[in-house]
Amino acid sequence: MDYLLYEAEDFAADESYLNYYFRLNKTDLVFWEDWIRRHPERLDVITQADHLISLLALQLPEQELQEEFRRIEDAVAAQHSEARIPEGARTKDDALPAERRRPLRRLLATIATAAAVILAPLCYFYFNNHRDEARLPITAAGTMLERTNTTTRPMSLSLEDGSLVTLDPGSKLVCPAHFPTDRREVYLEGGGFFKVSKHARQPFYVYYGNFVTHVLGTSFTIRMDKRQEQVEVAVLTGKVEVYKRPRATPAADDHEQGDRVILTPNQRAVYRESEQRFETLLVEKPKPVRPDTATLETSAGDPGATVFNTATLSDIIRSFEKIYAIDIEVENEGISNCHFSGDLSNMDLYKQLDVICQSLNMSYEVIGTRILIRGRGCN
Amino acid sequence: MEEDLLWRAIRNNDLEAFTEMYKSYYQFLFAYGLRVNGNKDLVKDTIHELFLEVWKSRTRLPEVTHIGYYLRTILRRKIIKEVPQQQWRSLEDLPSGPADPVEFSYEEELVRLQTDAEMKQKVHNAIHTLTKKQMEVIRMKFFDEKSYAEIADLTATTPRTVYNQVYEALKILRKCLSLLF
Repeated sequence: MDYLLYEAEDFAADESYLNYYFRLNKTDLVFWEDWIRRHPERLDVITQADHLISLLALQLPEQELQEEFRRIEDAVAAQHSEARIPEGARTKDDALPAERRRPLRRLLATIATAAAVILAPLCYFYFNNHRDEARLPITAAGTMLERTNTTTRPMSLSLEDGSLVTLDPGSKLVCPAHFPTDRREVYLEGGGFFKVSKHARQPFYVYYGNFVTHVLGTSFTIRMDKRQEQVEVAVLTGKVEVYKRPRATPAADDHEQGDRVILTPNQRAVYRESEQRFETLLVEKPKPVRPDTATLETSAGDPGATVFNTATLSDIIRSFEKIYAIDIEVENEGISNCHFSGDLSNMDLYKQLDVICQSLNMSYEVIGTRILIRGRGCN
Repeated sequence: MEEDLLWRAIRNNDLEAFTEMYKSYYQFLFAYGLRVNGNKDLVKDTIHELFLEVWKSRTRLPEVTHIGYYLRTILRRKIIKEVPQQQWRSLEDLPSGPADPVEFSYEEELVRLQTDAEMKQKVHNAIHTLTKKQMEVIRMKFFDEKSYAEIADLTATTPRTVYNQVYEALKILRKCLSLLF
């Protein structure tokens, strides 16, 4: 029986799997928990099967279950702090305010710090009891899904909101089974390419350790480098805001920003531990921000790709700025009118600049997130 | 944790054990509560009160051999108590609405449980794509939690046939719901 070939309906129809799902039988429970742990690449299918089963079993949807979970958690806490609510005053309306998301963030903060953290008893509500094992998509409340790419190739995942994540090999993504209504939060270790679906009232946050990337746009690559404490974001469209949370307790308002930057396409942020601040630079290999603007119009009106015929430097710079969304300046206005002719097809930005500068006897330098072109005059 | 150990731990102020019990039995109780009364919010509220009361009186709890049956019994009693007497008796006269107790209909409940409008529509369409026979085996398998052998007995067919029916129905459902997770 090759379970790797199973689709969602195969799992959902499988008696043994159902025994695991409904926890009816210890053998099946142990078998499937183990199988799922060993095959994280099938988590997508497993999740689909679980959703099917949950629906047909008339279970309370995950999000509501989490809300109920928080509800009892608060009620028990109120008990502990001796806040006795007289019978008559208790209302049936236990709807929680939207800011009630601390437990999730506490969870994320805890995953991030690998060291043992002393948790308030309330945090237990959000952990299943297998703390030392991979978190599994079981149907208990407080479910977090965790996927690690143990393969050597990128792994595609789709999130509940339609967002797509392509995880780099060796990377890990943790996300809740259901996003709360006011935000979407995931935890990333390593790197991945994100294509975030637009939900204006549900901002998307990516956490790693004390870093938070707040997504304001749609598609981007994030790489969090543990060693160098560097966050590289290569934005294709839109922008991201990166900040570091102050090293206070996670229970503090977590979005109080220590230091922050907003990265636009082709930028990257490096956190300087010594200066306790971010430095924004350009990415190693700037890419065209929007593929459909990759065609240049030369001053000769040529709608072709990247072949120039006596284009002025300022025209070329304008085009590059539009394509790569990078500020390019000339040190000396006089050189703006120098003409360039040549074929720059199939070259990345820096290579194109190399060729132009060589031809016009100029030089360029990347300073922060800008490029400065220097020259004494046209050839 | 084994059931009797779990229960004993709770009686001994163990919050973690209480949490485990909550997580383990919630859906079980929810499904049962829906059968007693189809009002989802009523069931949710009653389960909440039930657990809270269990925690409050944890040191005074009786010995229990089967936690599920114990909680279920209390839940049933509480739900019935919540609904005013006259509403139970004049069930036929009252129009069916979210606030009123309704007779249990699996298909209706499937739709009603969805809060998202789009999902509601999809589930509704999905149900109507299935045959009565398929609906019946789906209900028996997933809601009544019967084994294939049991369903085969009840429907005078073979387990294999039942499996195929369930499988086919699941395929249709997955397609209709275009589950994208």
